[in-house]
Amino acid sequence: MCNEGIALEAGLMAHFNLGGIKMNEKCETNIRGLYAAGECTGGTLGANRMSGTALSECLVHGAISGKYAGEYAQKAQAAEIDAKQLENIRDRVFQPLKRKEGVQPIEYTKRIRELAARTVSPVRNGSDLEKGIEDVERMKTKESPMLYTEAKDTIYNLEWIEAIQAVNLLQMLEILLRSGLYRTETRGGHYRMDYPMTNNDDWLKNVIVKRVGKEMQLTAHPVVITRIKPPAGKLPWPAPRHMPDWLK
Amino acid sequence: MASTPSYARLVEVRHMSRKTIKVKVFRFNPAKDKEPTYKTYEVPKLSHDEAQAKVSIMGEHRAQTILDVLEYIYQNLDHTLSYYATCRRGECRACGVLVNGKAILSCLAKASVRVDAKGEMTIEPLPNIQVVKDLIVKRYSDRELFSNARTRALNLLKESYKQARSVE
Repeated sequence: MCNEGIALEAGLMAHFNLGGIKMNEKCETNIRGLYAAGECTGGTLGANRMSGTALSECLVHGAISGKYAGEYAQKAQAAEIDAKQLENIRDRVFQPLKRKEGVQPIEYTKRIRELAARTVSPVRNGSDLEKGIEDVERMKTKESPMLYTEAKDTIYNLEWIEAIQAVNLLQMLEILLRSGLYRTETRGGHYRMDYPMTNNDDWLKNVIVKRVGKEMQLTAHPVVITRIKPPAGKLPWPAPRHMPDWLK
Repeated sequence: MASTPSYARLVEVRHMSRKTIKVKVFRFNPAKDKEPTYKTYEVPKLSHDEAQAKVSIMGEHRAQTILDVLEYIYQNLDHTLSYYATCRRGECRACGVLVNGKAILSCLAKASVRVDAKGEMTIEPLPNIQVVKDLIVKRYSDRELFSNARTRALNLLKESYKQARSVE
């Protein structure tokens, strides 16, 4: 079709999430009784998923996690709830309704999205990621606590939902920025202009982000290799070296 | 289905020069209001590139949809508006609203066509269903419709009768 001069329109959309909640082969997370399955988890499909594996991942994880969650549920006791923690969460969630003025959630979400487009787009570099982290820190401490809504009722309040989600969106962006900066190489979906080679000597590792107190702690763990060992050394990102004839 | 009816083309031509559409939206908050009201907004006509809910039906060009109108009102004019839309491509059938008396899917219906003779638009929730808030109607979940709570309650009652008889 390109040869006939007919243009194809292409648009951006969110298609798949690489990386996510850490789990073991029973789909257990580090919180007892919480199981994770499907696209929200990380590690099954490596650095870049192959076509056709997304739905299969959901089905396979769904079956495994359902089975082990069921087994756990039959023996589990109801856990004790910390009343203080519950009160803190309740205050935090209802604060936008009580506040009279501050930051508008819809406009705040737009700014978070613009920041994400500037810093964690498919092609990244270290200086953009560092600047992004500074911006995110400032937004987290100064603007997230100041979100407020115009409508003060709790029935289908879309603005309130956005106010709650904006805080989580910012946290996700912070995780993306920090782990992108931490990994000083290019691998799969993570392409860095300042480190364009895939480094199989130093970086056959998973980056794990954990919350310790109020900070994020990043660690790198070597991957367990069972059957096929990847080639050693620094390799270029797998892209054609020259433009093919039909694209010229 | 996808082609515009002839009267709508006439309306479109007559109001082509206007830059905004006058939209009357049904508002009802059961926590505060005793009766529903209508609020009027002036929504600008978005061009091909600015239409947020990008829609291409049967090869027709993208155009501003009713969902674009509602999103414009929510994001720029009145943050208290409540509306519902999920897939935004006509598959889930969740975004149904009543526009000028006709039930349509807001993600597919074009705003330039859905104006009445005066060039105005009235958006209301689907009729004959309980209104939860503004344009959102009550949708029953599977749990509410197909629960076996009644059967389980009756079984418990039967068992308690059996136990009472076996003790005697």
